[in-house]
Amino acid sequence: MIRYVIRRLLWACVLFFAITVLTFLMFFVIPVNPAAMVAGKAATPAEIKHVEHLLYLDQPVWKQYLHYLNQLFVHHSLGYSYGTRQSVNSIIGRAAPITASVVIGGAIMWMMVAVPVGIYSALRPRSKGDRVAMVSVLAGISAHPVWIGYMLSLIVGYELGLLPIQGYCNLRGASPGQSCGGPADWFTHMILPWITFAILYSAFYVRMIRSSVMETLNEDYVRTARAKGASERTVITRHVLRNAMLPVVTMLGMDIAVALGGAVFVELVFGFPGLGGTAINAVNQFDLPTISGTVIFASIMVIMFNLIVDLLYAWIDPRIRLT
Amino acid sequence: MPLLDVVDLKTHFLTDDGVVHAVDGVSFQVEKGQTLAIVGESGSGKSVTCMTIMGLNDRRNTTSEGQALFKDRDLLTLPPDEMRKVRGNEISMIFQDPMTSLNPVYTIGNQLREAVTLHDNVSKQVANRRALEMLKAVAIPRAETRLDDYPHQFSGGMRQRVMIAMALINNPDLLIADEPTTALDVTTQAQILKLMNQLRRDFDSAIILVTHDLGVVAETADDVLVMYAAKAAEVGTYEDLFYRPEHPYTWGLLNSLPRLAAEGADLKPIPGTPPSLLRPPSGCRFHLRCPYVFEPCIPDVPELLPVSGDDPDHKVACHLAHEFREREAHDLLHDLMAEQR
Amino acid sequence: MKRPGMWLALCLLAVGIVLLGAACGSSSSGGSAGGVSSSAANGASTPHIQGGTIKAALHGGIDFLDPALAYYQISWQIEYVTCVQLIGYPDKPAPEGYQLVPEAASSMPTVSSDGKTVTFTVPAGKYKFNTGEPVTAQTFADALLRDLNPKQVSPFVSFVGSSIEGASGWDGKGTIPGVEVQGDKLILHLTQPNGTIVAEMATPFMCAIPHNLPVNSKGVTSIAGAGPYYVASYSPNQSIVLKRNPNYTGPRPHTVDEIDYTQLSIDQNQGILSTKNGSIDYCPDCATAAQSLNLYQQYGDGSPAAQSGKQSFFISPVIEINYYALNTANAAFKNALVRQAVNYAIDRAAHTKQLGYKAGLPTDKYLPPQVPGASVEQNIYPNTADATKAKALMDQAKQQGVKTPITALVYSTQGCDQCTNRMAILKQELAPLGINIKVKYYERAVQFQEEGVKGTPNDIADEGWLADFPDPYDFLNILLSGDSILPKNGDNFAYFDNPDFNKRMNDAAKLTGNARANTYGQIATDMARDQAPWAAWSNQTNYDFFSSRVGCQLWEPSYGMDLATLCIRK
Repeated sequence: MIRYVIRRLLWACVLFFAITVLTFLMFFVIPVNPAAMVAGKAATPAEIKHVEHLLYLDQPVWKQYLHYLNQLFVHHSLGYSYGTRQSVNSIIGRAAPITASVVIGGAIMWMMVAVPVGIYSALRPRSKGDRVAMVSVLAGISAHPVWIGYMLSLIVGYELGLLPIQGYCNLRGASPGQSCGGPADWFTHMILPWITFAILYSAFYVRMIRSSVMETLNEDYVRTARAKGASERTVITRHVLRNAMLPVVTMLGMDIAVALGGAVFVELVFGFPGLGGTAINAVNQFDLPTISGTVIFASIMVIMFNLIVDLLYAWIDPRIRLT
Repeated sequence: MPLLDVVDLKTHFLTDDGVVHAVDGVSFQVEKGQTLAIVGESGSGKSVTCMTIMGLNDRRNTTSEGQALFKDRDLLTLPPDEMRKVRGNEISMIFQDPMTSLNPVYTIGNQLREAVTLHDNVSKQVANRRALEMLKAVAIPRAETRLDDYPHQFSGGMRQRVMIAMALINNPDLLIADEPTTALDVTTQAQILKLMNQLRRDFDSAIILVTHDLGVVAETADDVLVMYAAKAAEVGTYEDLFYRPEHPYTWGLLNSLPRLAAEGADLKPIPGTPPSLLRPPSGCRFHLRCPYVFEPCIPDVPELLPVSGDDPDHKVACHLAHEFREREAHDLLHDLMAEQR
Repeated sequence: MKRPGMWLALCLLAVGIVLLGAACGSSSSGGSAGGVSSSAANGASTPHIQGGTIKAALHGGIDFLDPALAYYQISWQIEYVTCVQLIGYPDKPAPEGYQLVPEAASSMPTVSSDGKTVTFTVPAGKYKFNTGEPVTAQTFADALLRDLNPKQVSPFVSFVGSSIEGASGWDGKGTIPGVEVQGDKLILHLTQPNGTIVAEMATPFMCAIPHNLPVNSKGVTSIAGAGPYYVASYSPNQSIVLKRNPNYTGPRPHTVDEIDYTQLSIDQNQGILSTKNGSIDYCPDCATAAQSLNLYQQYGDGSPAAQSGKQSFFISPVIEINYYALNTANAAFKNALVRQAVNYAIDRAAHTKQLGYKAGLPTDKYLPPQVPGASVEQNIYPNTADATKAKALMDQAKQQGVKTPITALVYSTQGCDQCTNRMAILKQELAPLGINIKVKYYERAVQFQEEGVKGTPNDIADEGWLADFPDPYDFLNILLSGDSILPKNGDNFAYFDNPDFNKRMNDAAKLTGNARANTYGQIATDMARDQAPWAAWSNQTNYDFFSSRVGCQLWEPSYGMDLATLCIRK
């Protein structure tokens, strides 16, 4: 087990280094001079030189990379935005909890839908309920999250007035200038985004859980459990689900990690200043430090969740532990 | 009175292509403490017969008729919850592939204990003690240390021992073993069969042993049921089947046994393939492959009848005359003996 | 010197996805003189309550609130109400709205006869910051020195860095000879006479800042203000709170207590929906061309809402020009007759229509209507195409040795539907003249970077320019003088370098008042008629949409919708 963990950790480090190289290279393939962007379009050559110096752009590439690594590993700094000149750490620090609210709440919601529906469908394939579920899944997968978000806002928020149309409220209480805050406001403002997020993903997950459960139901050890005299409930909960959830756990870990890197559509539609919106704005502005910062953050998330999934997997599936 | 009396058992599967008559009117008895071997090719309905007795077929697409009387109860009509109490307690089952029959995510001890606690309301300690006893009984070395191991840490033979331990842990009256040795290597096969014989004596359980291997039958069975295409071809004692076989299909099976002593002698498989159970052939189902086929075989279904008045328990379903069959069987066995020498 | 920042702001950011090539089409429309009027209601006539809070939101967010760095149109809208300046634009509609008046200064500055000394008189304590600190001449010297400090990296350096003595090459320590404070006088010493220095001193870069505001190239987020409002708090990407300055005693309006930007990254459609249902009151950059017709019919100046005095959708002109720069340095458009022919061949109305409903007004003038001199400038080319005239000019050019067909490379903006649309129109219009255009689309930021490299292969640049301040210098000198041709990052995309016009523009830059307006108007007329380095085609407008409870809207021509006048209806 310990060797397994060490191997995974080392692999994560290698991956992370590879990502820093790739991200850094981005600075050199983008056809815009960052210094000219910072200095303003009408800046004189001397002013651009000055900015180039400030940004270390007048150094050889390898020195720039070392500087970048030094900033990253020694000072834990992702640099400063070209656009707003804030530290990328603080930009991401503010955006990440918002994205996490969307993603984690959304994940809980979609799993709450997908697990029972997926199991139900698997246990009664071709039943009416299963057919309804499968059609809904198709609809959920086909609908674009932006459209779903707009429709929810328009109908639930605007026409019915049941929930806020859009916007984010801080969980810990209103920050200055925000008209809402605290857990209750936070929650009501999160519901539509969560639903939007959940519709897309629960569709995928219902399908995945259904097929995984159906596959597991055909396993020999499930037959063994029945032959032992286990009730149907015991068979499903004890013998089928734990095994059927193995692939689901992997996917869930990856999906959450990827979504943490930017739940772009949901954040844009509901006006959340999360990582997705931040990344999109940064791309529009060629704000390289912010772009690379969000990429690196997303990579860390992916690597971390990969690791968590690997460990979780090892915990659930003893076969992994010794190999 | 027999422990299990199966009468005219029929099992039908509903599939997309139509109704599959997987078991089509099979009857047999299992006596207390005896071993019944069910023999036949793949797809002959022997496994389905067992699954039907266990009530393990998928209820949504399966219908069963007939009776399976076990200790005065008809297993086919027993309510699901009653049936659950029978399974693993009074009747246990072990399966062909020990590699996949144990749940990979639980320890052996856990799965053995579960078998106990599903039927007996005992403490974990008691369940654990019984699990340990059973592991010792099936001769797992260092059993104490292995309760906490996971299935993948055991070899195939060891896993089958665990399966047997799990099946016998509640001291069942009947053990159904569906091809228990097929997936194992020859040495292990012999050990497992020996173990099963020994345990049958120790626990006084009856066994239904499903196999396609007459060698296995020879080592274990008291009685034998030969199935062909969902029907019984021949029923009798071990001696009946090996020394007085009456059905051409049984002859074919005997003839196709590998002959270790006779190097270079051809393996003589039964020509042709088993028929489809979706649209079974008319008359005797073996007529397409039977070298002795004659007029009545094609339109008329032969009944399973006693071979002769003085041996009512040896039955065969064949249109051939008894005398002819006796002669042919005698010649066949003679040839086999000759080859053995 | 100037404005690409704003440009970027307007086109790339504020407007977000809808960037346009020559101008951002999305949030603007209309023109001045003509059909689209600013139609701002007069604050005094709207029954309203005193105080209250307006909840605003932004789609594209802002760059900075630090006056040394803020450069987005949206940021300047905020700076306008949170700043006291030496001189500024009054809260009045056009034309007074773009005439500078003294604010913290007691009068307009005096300029010495050699034009190299500019003196502002600032009575100490006439204005006070919300902290109580008085505004003095030193306040503005601090602001200017902070802007010019190389460690601040302010875009204002590109405006005045070369004009103020000692600013170039300053190491940021102490002070510089060009900025002098004597009692209540702020004296600027210039390296040469500069006709735009006064207008430049009126940009928000010269906002009054507290005495010890540190130099910080990352921008300060909490700044005391001396205007009618001050920035009470700013959480980047999340919220801005503007509060009424309790110490403000000046003449500018300030009715509501607070203007809260509760969100800085709202979705545009959702912003409109939220404004309609009143969960927010105003989103300056949410209304897009796609929604303009609908909003105009429901809430615009002719709607039933407007007739009952509750107009809440406003289309107002911005100081902007969309033009096709015809590259005079490359073979294709070297001949002025060919350039004139192009000017006759294009249907300005058709091009403008592509921007969206009332999103622009067609024009052939080089100066937007709000800029002094625009009324002097004459119309030369028709708003609809004159194919015959174009053909005749082309024939004349051929007699002078111009060979057709001409292949012309156009740079336009990627991901901008209206750009592709107008390129298709342009192709059709120029084909009969024997000019075949080939279009290359770039990301906006790349596009102007490429166009600004001297010797660029493109023959036409699909461009636009948003003013930093309403002065003809900001259009003609910046965009069409030979001095603006740089090896890289130049602004003269026509590469127009005519010694005669260079001299006339340089001379005009030193003038003031009516003489300045008349001279620039004449230059623009002559340039368009004789040399035609551009084909100007429209001025854009801006959309503003409010919730029904907000009134007293006023379109201030230099800074846009005036936050200071807004009120909450009774």
